[in-house]
Amino acid sequence: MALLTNLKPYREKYNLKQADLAELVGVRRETIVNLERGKYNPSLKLAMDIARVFHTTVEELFQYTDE
Amino acid sequence: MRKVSLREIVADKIVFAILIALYYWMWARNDWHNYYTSIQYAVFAFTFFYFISRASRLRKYKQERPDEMSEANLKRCDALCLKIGAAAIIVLSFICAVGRLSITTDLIGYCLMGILIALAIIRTILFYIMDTKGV
Repeated sequence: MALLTNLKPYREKYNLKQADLAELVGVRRETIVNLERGKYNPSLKLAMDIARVFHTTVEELFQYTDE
Repeated sequence: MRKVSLREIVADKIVFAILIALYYWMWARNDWHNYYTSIQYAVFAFTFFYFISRASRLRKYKQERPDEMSEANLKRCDALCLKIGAAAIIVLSFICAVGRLSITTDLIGYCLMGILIALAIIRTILFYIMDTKGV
């Protein structure tokens, strides 16, 4: 199963850099980089924190495919 | 004071491993030179001040919100290093079995200290690579 993320479009919509988003949710910039690439599976808390920043739901930001 | 990264905490273990090896040398040596006393005092003083400085950094790390990706990477790294450590000890034990008539216990101790230092270095390098590439 592969993780697909919609982080980048939301981040650009809110005019946030990766470092800014990382600061808001309390992680490193590298974590946001790997999240956007789908190379890291976030914890539920981190996913919810990011969803709260973008005023959206976790399902809107993160999806799993059967690849 | 700059933010504490987990890489820094992991790299500290190399210094601790070397200090433990030095402490072992103080116990295992069979000769004596006058300058050994100076070396011992220097090691003790360094150990004391190093522990104090690292303890303050470790406390600061725990107060800051730890990065979850780094911690997940460290767990993966530790699982791998456990296997590497077990393999090294198995190899050493067979070497001891084969060379039991010529290998002394202090030499075995030095080999174990070498494994400790090597494992600390490998762990640091592996963690750095994993943390850069992501989980």
